[in-house]
Amino acid sequence: MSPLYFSVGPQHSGSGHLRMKIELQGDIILNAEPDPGFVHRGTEKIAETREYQQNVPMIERQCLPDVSSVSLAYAMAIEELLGIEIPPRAQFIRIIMCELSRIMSHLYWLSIMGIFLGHSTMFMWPFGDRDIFIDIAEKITGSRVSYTYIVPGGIRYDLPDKIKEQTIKTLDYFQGRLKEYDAIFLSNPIFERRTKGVGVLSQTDAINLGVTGPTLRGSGVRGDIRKGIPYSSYDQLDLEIPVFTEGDSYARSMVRFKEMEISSSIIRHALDNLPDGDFAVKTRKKVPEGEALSRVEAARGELACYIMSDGTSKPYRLKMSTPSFRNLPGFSLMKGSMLADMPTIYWSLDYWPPDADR
Amino acid sequence: MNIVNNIENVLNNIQIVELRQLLLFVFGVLRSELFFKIIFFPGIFTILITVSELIWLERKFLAKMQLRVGPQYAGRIGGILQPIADFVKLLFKEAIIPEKADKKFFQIVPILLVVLATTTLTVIPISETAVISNLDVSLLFTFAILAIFPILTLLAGWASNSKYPFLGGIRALFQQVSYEVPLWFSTLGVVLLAESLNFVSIVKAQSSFWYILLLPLGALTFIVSMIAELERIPFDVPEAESEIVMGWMTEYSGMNFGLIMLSLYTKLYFASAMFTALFLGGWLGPSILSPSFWFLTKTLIVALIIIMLRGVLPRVRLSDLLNIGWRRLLIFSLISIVWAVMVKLFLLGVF
Amino acid sequence: MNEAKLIDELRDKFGESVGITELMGQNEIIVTVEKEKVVEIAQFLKDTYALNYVISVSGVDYPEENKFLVVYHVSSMSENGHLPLVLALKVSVDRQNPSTPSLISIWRSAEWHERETWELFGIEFNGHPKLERLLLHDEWEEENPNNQFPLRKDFLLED
Repeated sequence: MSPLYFSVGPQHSGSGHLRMKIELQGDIILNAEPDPGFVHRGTEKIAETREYQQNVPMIERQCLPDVSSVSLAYAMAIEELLGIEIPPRAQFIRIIMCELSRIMSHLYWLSIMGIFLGHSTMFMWPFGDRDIFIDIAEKITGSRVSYTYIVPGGIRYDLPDKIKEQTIKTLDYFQGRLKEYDAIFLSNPIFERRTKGVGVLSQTDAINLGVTGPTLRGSGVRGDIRKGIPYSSYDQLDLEIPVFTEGDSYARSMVRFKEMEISSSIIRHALDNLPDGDFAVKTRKKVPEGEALSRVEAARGELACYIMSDGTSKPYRLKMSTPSFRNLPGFSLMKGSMLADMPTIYWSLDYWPPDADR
Repeated sequence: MNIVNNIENVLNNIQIVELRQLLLFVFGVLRSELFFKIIFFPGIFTILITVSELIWLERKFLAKMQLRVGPQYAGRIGGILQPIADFVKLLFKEAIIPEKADKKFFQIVPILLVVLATTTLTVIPISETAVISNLDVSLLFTFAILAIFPILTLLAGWASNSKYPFLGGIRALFQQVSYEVPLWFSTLGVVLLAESLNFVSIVKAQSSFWYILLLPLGALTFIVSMIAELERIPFDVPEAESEIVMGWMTEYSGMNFGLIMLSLYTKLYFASAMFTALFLGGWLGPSILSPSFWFLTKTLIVALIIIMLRGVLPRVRLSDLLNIGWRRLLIFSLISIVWAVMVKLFLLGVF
Repeated sequence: MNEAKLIDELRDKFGESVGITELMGQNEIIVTVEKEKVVEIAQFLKDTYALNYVISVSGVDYPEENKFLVVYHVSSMSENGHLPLVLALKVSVDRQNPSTPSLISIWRSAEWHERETWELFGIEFNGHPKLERLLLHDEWEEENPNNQFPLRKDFLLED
């Protein structure tokens, strides 16, 4: 029987905005090739025509579930070029925003995993819980999803009153919910059956293919920028890194699940030890000539922002090396697996099409 | 009758006139056969009202499980007219037929699905006398009708002439064919104990013990196979949304889709009713309330359990599905036949 | 990881072909090379200093100096995580005939990045198995027959 070629296209309830060209023989996938670019918006080119501050809202809309990390990478690169030092209070608040974004992104990931596996409750509960975190973000920044809060020089506003009580209350509630998630979703025998042993990525392959984030940590590599090359006061906080060695979809899912717990404790710790002081420093419009590379650990992996400046107020070249783009080689794991494993592998890589296409 | 008199005396002593009349009315309705015959006896009302409200029940129940509200606007109380609203909406939608589809077969499949699903209801008895067609071989009749459904879904997938329905139709064929065998075998135990293929006789034979107590393994096999036949989560591989959009139903829209949905929920009602009749003692229950009331309650409880499974489990992979159907369930159903023989010889012989 | 040692060894081994080597901030080295020697240097970096993890590959356009720069940022990753060194390997490519050897054979993770750089800048990577359109849409070549590579400086955005 000749193979069936079809595309799980950009407009499909199973793929987000990504096209995958699949060659199917019976129930086995012979070849699955991703074809990104459906949501390419030309961020890098547009950034060259605008000033640095004007680029901030555009840059952060690259990866909407995880806004803070992207804007943090951009801000850190510019601060390195300007040679300015961010006050400790701003650094701690940036950590809090990043970890909140991480939790929100992982909750989003969990619900879409529910859709892909056909589990409607796994879709509804995390989305509902994500909403209470969005409420916190709204209190702090004024906007629900895309904050424009972390800017070069610090942050835009200080934390409002009583935000600590609300956050602690939310985190206590979330702790109980995580236990329920573990009981219903992750210890679910069908979930385990569908994700264990599926899409196994060995340790050497993970390093050679250049994957990052939970995909890397699910394969036994203890790679996390927050610990390896700490930025923005992460070295002052205790940080655990969950590492699983099996390298299958289940390991990657467990890494993200554990990261949610760890992020909650980081937020608590940061709120307890929040230093006083300024929340921003003055910056200049014209950035001196030079180049800078900043690396942060976004929810999906390592994000690197490379800026080359020529002394004017507009970037000469802005390159964002996003985690989703770097995880593209992971699609080769689909070769030889069943069609039912395709969404499992795809989503356990946490590929986010607007993030990869920029 | 003493209990009935006691209750009526209590109700008659209520002072508030309207409340007394209302409660007496409700009590009378619950005891009457006619009410249940009109609403739940297979006919146009069953399909339009009962099956539609089964859809409402599913949506509301799942919503409460998922910490949501569910339908709330159509109809004053809890969105109870939502399925009627959906039905009316689908009537007004354009039924798009793909250009290269085989139009005759494309259009005939939903009609056949509804007709066949309703036909199965004609042999299920709601009470001892309320059955449209009291065949001697009614159990065999239902299985004969059930065996046609895989052909229809394959036909739907083929007639759509498109890749996703094609994949969905083949998967539906695999699934429904492989779960028919454990389904039949698990009912053989019941037939052995009741010594008849007639539903009315099977229910009457359960007057001492319900068969779910005597044949637990058979009941379990039956309900699991039935969920697979209904193509419900966790066995909805033919409609696996994340891989093949809607499977064999992808190209159906408008009233064609409405009819397919109707047939799916009629099958759900039928499956719950059959489980009740075979294993839960049909209409047997305390005679305070009418036998049809007991039948209905048990059917609804079974339907709720099937609906609840939808909220708790994800979808099973195709390979696991076929594994369960051909290996585990087949073995369980064979064991349940042997078990039934033992029960018949030793347990019931003694009593 | 001793950055100074790395720079010295690079200078010793590859003297003329290695351009300016700067120590920039903490743990970042910039090495500018000519494209003829880039494969050899990359192999040396991977074998001796375990620089096996590509962070990004970017192209930069310098129309006045009539050249492109292809910048490979690589770092070192082992089982225990990141080592802090980042090395920016800059390859100078002629603007009229942009082509440079592909480094896929050494760093497999550069595959998708090189493909994107080809698509947006027009730099040919010799030896890359699949230089095809990735991010831009299907009708791009028909709509822009003369000006195919959007990230070059002469492609102006109509604002």
